[in-house]
Amino acid sequence: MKILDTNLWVFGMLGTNSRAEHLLDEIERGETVSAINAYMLQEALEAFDRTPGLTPEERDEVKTLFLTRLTRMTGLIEAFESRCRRFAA
Amino acid sequence: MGVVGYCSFERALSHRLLLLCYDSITVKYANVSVKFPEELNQELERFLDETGVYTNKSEFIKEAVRRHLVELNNEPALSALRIERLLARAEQHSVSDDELLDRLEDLRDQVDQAALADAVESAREATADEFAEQS
Repeated sequence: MKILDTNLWVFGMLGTNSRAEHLLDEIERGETVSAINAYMLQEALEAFDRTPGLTPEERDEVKTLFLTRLTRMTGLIEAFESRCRRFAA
Repeated sequence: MGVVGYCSFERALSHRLLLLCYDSITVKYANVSVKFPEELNQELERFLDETGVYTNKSEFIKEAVRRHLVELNNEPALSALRIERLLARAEQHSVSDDELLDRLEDLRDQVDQAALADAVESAREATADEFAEQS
């Protein structure tokens, strides 16, 4: 299993880092297994909220697209809800 | 000492008034009607009469709402709730995989890549601060 740093999640979504993009593609196809905890999810969402060059509406859109993509990643394990509950506890 | 204190208070107040003037020139306003308990309203009006810190009731309410929002946004339990709702919405999102990736590609072109790393670092600090406050 590969645990990705927040940088990789953000750059894989919005950056021009081909390694990060490649890793996300692999997780998407289930060729690599990964997990993301709610803390890192929060970090990534905070980063999208601060992304230079995008309007507030576009930042919201990026967050939705990011989360949508995560929910479809075959290689990403654990139920998000349970992670969020632990995050809130 | 008292005079110095008074002067700095005056300076802070005039600075605040300048900011309010600037605010009223540049910001678009929405009219919001709120029902207040009479006693709370009287208490607020008494405070404004006695202190004169706020130019009017509207300024006081605006700032109170802003502070409350900041406070709530810093609450980890609410962050978790927000993430959970965003995820639930994301699961219902009807966009196809190709459309999703195309749209990300478009948005990627608009992003200032050089500053993206700074955004992540700043996000790390904000998240760490939030959790440090919680523990």
